[in-house]
Amino acid sequence: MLVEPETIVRAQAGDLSAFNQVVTAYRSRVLGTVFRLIGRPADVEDVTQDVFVRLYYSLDQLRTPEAFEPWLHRLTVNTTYDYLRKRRRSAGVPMADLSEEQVVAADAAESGKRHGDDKQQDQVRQVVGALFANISDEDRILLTLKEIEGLSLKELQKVYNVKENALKVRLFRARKRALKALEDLKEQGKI
Amino acid sequence: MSSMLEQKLDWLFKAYRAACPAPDPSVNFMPGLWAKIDAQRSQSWIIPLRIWATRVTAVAGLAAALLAGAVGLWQQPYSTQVLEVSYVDVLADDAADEFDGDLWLLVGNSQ
Repeated sequence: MLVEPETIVRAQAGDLSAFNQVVTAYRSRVLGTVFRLIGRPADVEDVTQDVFVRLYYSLDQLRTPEAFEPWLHRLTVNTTYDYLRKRRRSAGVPMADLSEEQVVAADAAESGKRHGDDKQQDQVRQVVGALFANISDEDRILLTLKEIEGLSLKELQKVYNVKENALKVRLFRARKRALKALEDLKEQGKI
Repeated sequence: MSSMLEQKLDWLFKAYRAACPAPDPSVNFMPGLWAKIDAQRSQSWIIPLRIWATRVTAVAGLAAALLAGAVGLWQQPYSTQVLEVSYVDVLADDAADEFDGDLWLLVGNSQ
């Protein structure tokens, strides 16, 4: 835990400075998770703020301070899921093969100002962005939490509130679909 | 799926984490957050109002249905009186009218 359980209890009781402490302690972690989940730098801060707004209004529902972190993960997942769904809906069509990150990366590559490492990182973001655009939001979130954020099965069980076997099946299927999407991208010569 | 593809996927996920470090929060992060919290708080009265409006509509609908049922029951004796004239009676009356007409025509032709 990044804060003492007492701080969470105080925040639950309406202590605003305790709530600020919780936000300050966790915002960097949530910013990172949201960034990797949505892949759009321009919206990361906005979505992260939405996570903490949800936290503020539902903190009284948390039973024990020990359950805070999985619970915050769940809020992050729900907020991100809503964001991704809205984004897909506003796009009107399935996400384009060329994501915003790819366009940004292409522009940056053209400018020729970037170092080799940056270019490789841009490429990675491009490929993963294209991969995520070709799988469902549910798969994207689950795989990000497991494979990229490194959450254990036990942690994921708490986030999703499902049994281990059900989670394993979901993970297996999500990974299979991601592999299929990767294979398709490869066949299309996009990676 | 080939194991090469599996390895590629694992590598991509690992590299993606390194390629997406947590961005630094802007100076407006906390003020923006509190502005959102306050905005939601100021709108919070709308939600109970919506719930209340929905309940009132439901109760009004139920009351209207009950009233309509009650009125229907009240008027039922009158309706049964109307139905006491049977279909056969109505047909018989119609037939009688037609018969009178035919007779009149026959009488007219013969003259």
